[in-house]
Order: sequence, then C-alpha cells, then structure tokens
Amino acid sequence: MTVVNPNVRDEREQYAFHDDITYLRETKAGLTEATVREISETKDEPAWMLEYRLRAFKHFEARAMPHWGGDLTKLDFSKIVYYRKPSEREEKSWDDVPDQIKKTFERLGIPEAERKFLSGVGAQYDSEVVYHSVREDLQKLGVVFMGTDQGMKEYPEIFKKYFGTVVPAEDNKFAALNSAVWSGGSFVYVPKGVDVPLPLQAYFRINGQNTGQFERTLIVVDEGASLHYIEGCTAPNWATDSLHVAVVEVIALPGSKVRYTTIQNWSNDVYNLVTKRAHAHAGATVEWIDANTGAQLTMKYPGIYLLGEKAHAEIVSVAVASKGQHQDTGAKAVHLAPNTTSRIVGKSVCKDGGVATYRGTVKVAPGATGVTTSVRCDALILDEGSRSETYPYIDIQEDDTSMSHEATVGRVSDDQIFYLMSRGMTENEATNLIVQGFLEVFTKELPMEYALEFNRLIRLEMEGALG
Amino acid sequence: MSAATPARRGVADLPLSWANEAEIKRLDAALGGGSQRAAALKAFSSLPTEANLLFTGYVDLRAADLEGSTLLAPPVGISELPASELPAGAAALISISARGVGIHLGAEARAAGLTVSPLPGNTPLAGAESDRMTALIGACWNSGTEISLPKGSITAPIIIRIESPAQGEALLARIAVTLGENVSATISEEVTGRSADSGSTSGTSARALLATTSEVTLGKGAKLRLASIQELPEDVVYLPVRRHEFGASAELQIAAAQIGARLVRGRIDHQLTGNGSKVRQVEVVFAGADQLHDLTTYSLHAGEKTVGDLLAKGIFAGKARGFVKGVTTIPRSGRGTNSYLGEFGMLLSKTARSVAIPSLWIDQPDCERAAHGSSVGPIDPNQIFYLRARGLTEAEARRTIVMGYLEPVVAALPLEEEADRLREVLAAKLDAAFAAQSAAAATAA
Repeated sequence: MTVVNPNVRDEREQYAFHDDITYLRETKAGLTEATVREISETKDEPAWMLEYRLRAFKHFEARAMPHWGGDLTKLDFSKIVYYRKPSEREEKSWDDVPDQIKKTFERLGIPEAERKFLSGVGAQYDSEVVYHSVREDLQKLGVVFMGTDQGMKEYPEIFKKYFGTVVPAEDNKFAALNSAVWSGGSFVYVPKGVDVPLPLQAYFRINGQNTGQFERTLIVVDEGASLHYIEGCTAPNWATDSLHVAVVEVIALPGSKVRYTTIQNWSNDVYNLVTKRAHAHAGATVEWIDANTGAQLTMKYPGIYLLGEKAHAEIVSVAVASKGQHQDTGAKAVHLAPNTTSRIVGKSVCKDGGVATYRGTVKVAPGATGVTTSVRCDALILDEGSRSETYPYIDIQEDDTSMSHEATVGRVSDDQIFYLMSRGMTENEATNLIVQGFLEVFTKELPMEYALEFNRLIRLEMEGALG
Repeated sequence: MSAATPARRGVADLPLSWANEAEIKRLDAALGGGSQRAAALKAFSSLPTEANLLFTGYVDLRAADLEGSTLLAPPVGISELPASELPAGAAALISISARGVGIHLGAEARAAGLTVSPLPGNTPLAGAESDRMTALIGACWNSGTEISLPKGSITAPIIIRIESPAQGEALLARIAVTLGENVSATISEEVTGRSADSGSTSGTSARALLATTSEVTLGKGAKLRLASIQELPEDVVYLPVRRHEFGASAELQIAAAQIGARLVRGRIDHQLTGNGSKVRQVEVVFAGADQLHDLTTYSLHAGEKTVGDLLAKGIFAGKARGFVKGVTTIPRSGRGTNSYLGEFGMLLSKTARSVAIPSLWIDQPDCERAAHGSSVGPIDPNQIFYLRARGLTEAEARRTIVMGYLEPVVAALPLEEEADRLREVLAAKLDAAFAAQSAAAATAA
C-alpha cells in the first residue's frame, strides 16, 4: 500500500532531463597522456600545471584500483569522456550565460536562490564553470569566489601556495585522476578577518552521457575569517555510467571558521568518488556537513587534519541508500597538534536493498596531547535485503587522549510507528517522520530553505518504502 | 641458515623453514591427517597474513623471529600424571607441553564420563582454508588432544595447562572440546612458560613459538565457562586460534587475560548458529615494554535470537601496542539478535599505542540490539585526587583505579584462587610499568 502524501510532489523528474547541447569542445572517450595534454592546452595553462597533470596521470596509471569499499569492477575508464566544454567562458552576469544552459539552471532554481539568501553563486556544467558571482560588498572586502581555472590565472600566488598541499596528487588513485584531468570547481579566498555572512553556493550539473566531472575546489580562509560554502549536485539519468571524481581542499588558517555543506543528489548511474580534506590550523574550526542521497556508488570520507593547537573538527555525515545504491561514506579526524578536539556524527538509512557503510578514522598522533574526540554513528535498516556496515578505526598514540565512540544499528521501532499511527498518520507518513527525526542532526545544521528541501528529498526517497 | 643478521622482513612476512611437505609427511606418519595437512599447507603458503581487507593496515609480525626454529616432535599418546599434580578444587588436569600430553582425571570427572584422548588425525580444522594462522596450525600441528564430555556435567573446573616450548622451538597444539546436549562444564586454561635464560638454549636466536587452537563444539543447551590466563615469558610468539560452534540455546562464557608474550596474534570465532545461543566474552589485555597484542574477534549471529556480549579492555604501557579488532556479522537469518561489542583502552605511557576497530556488518533489520562502543582515556585525575584525599599515595591511587578498571574481567574467572593470582600478576605488572614510567620521567628531567 503506497499512500501518496499530497504535500509531497515527486520532482525528481524535474532534475532528470538533459539538454542536447553541442559542446564547444570535447575530448574523445578514454584517457591517455594526449587527453591530459589536450585539456591543459585547451585551458592555456602555465607549464607547471601541465607537468603536475602529467605526474598525476602517471601515478593514476600505476596505482591499482582500491580493492576495498564499493564495487568498482564495472567502472570502465575508457568509456568516459573526460572533458566537455559547454560555453566559451565563465560569466559574471547571468544574462550572458548561453541560453540553453541558463534554462537548465533556471529549471533547477538557480540563480533564484542567489537573490534570496546567498553571498554568491557558482554553477558548473559538465567540465566548465559557466557562471560565478559574488555580492558586490564582499567583493570590495577582497572575497574571491570564481572558477578554479580562473583562480589559477588571476591569483597565482595564493593558488600555487596551496594547490595540492592538502590532497597531494599521489594521495589515492582517484585524487591522481582528478589531478590529471581536473577542470572547474570553485576557488575561494576569504581575506584576514572577513566574515562572509551568508553562504556561497556552488552548483554542479552533469549533463552529457558518460561524462566525467572532475571539479577541483580550493578554499583558503585567512586568519580570523569565516565562510559557509554549500554545494549541490544533480545529473540526468542516462542509464550509462557517469563519473564524478572531485578533489576539495580546504585551508583554514589560524582562528578561522569554515563550514562546508554538501547535498549530493546525483542520479543513480553516477560513480561519486570524492576526496575532501581540510587543514585546520591553530584555533581554526572546520565543519563538514555532508549528505549523500544520490549516486550508484559513493566513496567519500571528508577528512580534517588538525595541524594547529586548539583546532576543532566537526563532521556530520548522513547517507540514504536505496535500491541499487551503495553509500560508502564516513569521516576522518587526524589529530596532529595538542588540545585539538573533534566530533563525528554519522547517520545512515538503508532500504530496498541499498547498502550503507560508515567508514571512519580517528587518529591521535604522538605529541598531540590533551585531545578530546567523540564519534557517534547510528544506522537504520528499513527492510530485509538492505545492509548496514560500520567500520570505525580508532588509533590512539597519546596517553592523555579522551576518546569515545558509540554506534548502534536498528530498525524503526514498531512502538514508534504504532504511536504515530494512533495519532492519525499512515504507516508511511509515520516512517517518514521517524527517518526525518533520525537525520535531524544533519537537517538542523542547514539554512532553513535547504533544510526544507532536504526533508522533501528524504520524503521522496522514503515514498513507497513500506509499499 | 647462518647465524648472520637475518634479512629485513616485511611486516606480514612469516618465514618458517619447517612449514614444508617433508615435515608434513613426518607429522602425518606420527599423528595422521596427511591430506588435510597438505591442503592447509597450500592455504598457508597462498593466503595473505591478513585476509580481511579491513585490517590489512594493522598487521605486524616483525617480532616473529622464528627463522631457524625447529618444529618439535613431542611424544605421541597421553600419559597419566600423578594425583598430586591435580590442583585442589579441580576436576581434572590436562597438561600440554613439549614433553607431550599428560592428564589426571579426578573422581568427579571420571564419574561424569570425561574423556581425554589423542585427536584423530583427520579431524577437520574449520577456518584452515581461509585464515593463514589457522592454516599454519592445520598443516603443522604436532600435538592434538580431544576432550569430550558427552553426557554428565562437571562443576569443578577442568584445568588445561599449556606450556610454551624452549627458545628456538615450535609447539602447535590443537585442543578440541566437545560438550554434549545440556552438559555444563568449566575449563580453566593456564598458558605459561619459562623464560629463555632458565630453559635450554639451542644456540639459535629464534624465539619460541606457541600456536594453539581451542575448537569448542557445544551441543544443544550446553553451557561452558572458559577462562584463560596467558602469562608467557616476554620472548614467546603466541598464536591462539579459538573457534566456538554453538548448538541451539548453548551458552559460552569466556574470560581471557593476555598478559605475556612478545607478540600475540589471536583470533576468536563465535559461530552462533544455534537459535537462542549466547556468548559472553570479557577479555583483558595488558601489554608493556615492546609487546604487541593483536586480537580479533569475529561473531557470526546466524541463528535466531542469539546474544553476543563482548567486552575487551586493554592497558598499554611502555612502547606496547594493542590492535583490538572485532567484526560482528548479523546475516539475514539472524533475527532478533542482541549484540554488543565494546573495546576500551587505557594508555599508561606516551609511547604506547591503542588501535580499536569494532566493526558491524548487518543484513537483518529485525534486531533487538546491534551496538558497539569504544573509548580510550587516561586515568581520570579527579579519581586520583579523590583517592589521595582519602590517604592513598599517588601510586596506590593509580593502581587502585587500574585494578578497578580490570576487575570485571578478573571477577569472571571461575576459581577464586585463580582470580586472586591474576590480581597479583596484574598488580605486579602495573607496578613495573609505573616504575619504568617514573624512571623514564626522571631521566628526561
């Protein structure tokens, strides 16, 4: 019995469309050294970047596929198109964005959002950033928010100083792949002491069939500054595999505060293999607020390296795995300095045969005295055939660490359902409400508009869960 | 093999000159099991040391200096020990060492129908095909004992005394325990040995190797209390493998203390296949100096309404390391499971390291509880302050707190004398650790 809640419209269809666009430039499917050279040449990059890409490509080729995590056996690198350029350049005015692309983003509600409550918006379409804008007053204060390609050209000192320092090209196979063929992503710089009052938002869209999107985001928040960055992702369902391999590097300089929020809602044919990592310097706070509801396979473990004394890390990671999905997500906190603190909360829901994995690491290195860290990860399994896995790694090498870890796995309790049903809800509505409550730890961290949107997404995921 | 400096080994390498076909032939002639030994040898040479991809980052066998060691050929058969050897209050004594297997069964044990016999050579060893250390024992076991209690129950404990061999020698002992339907028994395992300096040295630098199995099969409704205290000299390599098969409603209570040995790499498998079967495990690990204790517990809740309550507590001093890992699996068949896995650590020095990996793998939503918890922390200064305010010295306060932390495990031992002895051993080791710490602090100052 599926009861359709009149308040819930299934708008996934809305994101499932695709444009028949003629790309200005695209590489042939498959990846060779020539592809890497071609991308670099198209972008007219400095020589050092080409060298960096080639070094990364060599490592990518030499490195074995990870044999843990999700099933990557069906991922065929030779079928992917590594670069697709939809427009001539990154526009600052929405009116200048090519019509067809503009329409796409307007259907997705951008830049409507910008006018309402954002400090700036960026939009990436396949391989290239098509639009970026920042509120004028922030621009005057020196806040930089632009495509990473453009950032490399306009701010070479900041770019070269930090690029690849948090996630080196040799970090893992997919970081190497991204380093070889990266294109687009956001480059953000917030100068000393500047507080960006409203979030900056980036929107990532994969349009083309078999497209690989390899955005590269570099965020540098200078001493005492603060930033909230939000990203959202969608793609049409092509029923052939697309690949999203991003690298995100965040540098939180002393005393700064950075929050990075992701709502990942790729279509169910996307491999989402992302390396996200932050360096938190003395007294800095870094927060990853990460939700994964889409993609066929997600492997993503946002990490924070606490490099300076009294740095704080906060990671909230939620995942919903439905039919045909494997959400292999988690968190990583590496304490390298004294008196650093971290808190990790992981919540996952699996249903209709989905697999939700929590994979997390807490490490306290020798010398990192007075560390306090806590991990809480909970999972809900809604039906038989779904699977929940929990793999926490706790590696402590200092004697005065205070670490606690707790995890539970369970189902939605019959008592709770019964209670809500006796108050007039259908079983489905009751389950929805309980799942929403379970994930509230994430929702409450979002700006209100996003929270409403996320709850709607969850309701959609849950519709018919009890069928 | 010359006595020159041995080549540098990889962390997972375990070169054993005697794990070969010729030795297996010799063992087959003496003890049987030729074809199974051959299959296990094959598995040993082809399997990775850590087959579980979750744990490959936490393998370190570098302390297993076994090159040049010799595989013992203990006397075959079982000899009768004098009654005077039987500890007061015990039902039976089974002694396993390089000198062979000796037993003495008391009146209660005999009346209940306890039998101790050589293990038939073709007894399969579950896990030998998939786990490398189990495969090693399956191929090269040179001592085998079968303990069976098919009908009657015994209240007094059966003592199994396992003695490590001398330096440079290897003893691989299989111990199979079978309890029949509704039978209850208590086993107390004492794993000890003599330090190399007091034993005979064979002119080799190889360490002593003690590898053991504990293959427990519990019939329907059977109840076993199993206590194990491992106090090996700190130059022994110890590889214990335990596997427990549960009939319906069978119960196992296991209390284990790992105190000695240079390197412990242990594995416990709870196969909770019987509906309503239960396991309660408390384990204490106390490592100091250069010791490495690497322990993994697998629990498979295949039956319905099974209960797993696993608690591990570790104390690490000096440069010791502890890798305490667990995997709790609840397959689709395991409805109504109640499982808990707790791994707790206390570090007493800045150079010690504690790694905990309590994993869950769950396919069945209908579970009463599936949880794990873990914490690592120092001795709480508030507790020290409280005790000092009541007149204890700093050292006494610290000792009291640590002993209190370990008490749940100690108290689970079946014989009160054993519990007292373990308290003494732990206290002595603790004092030594604190003394080493103060000495180090003094040098630093």
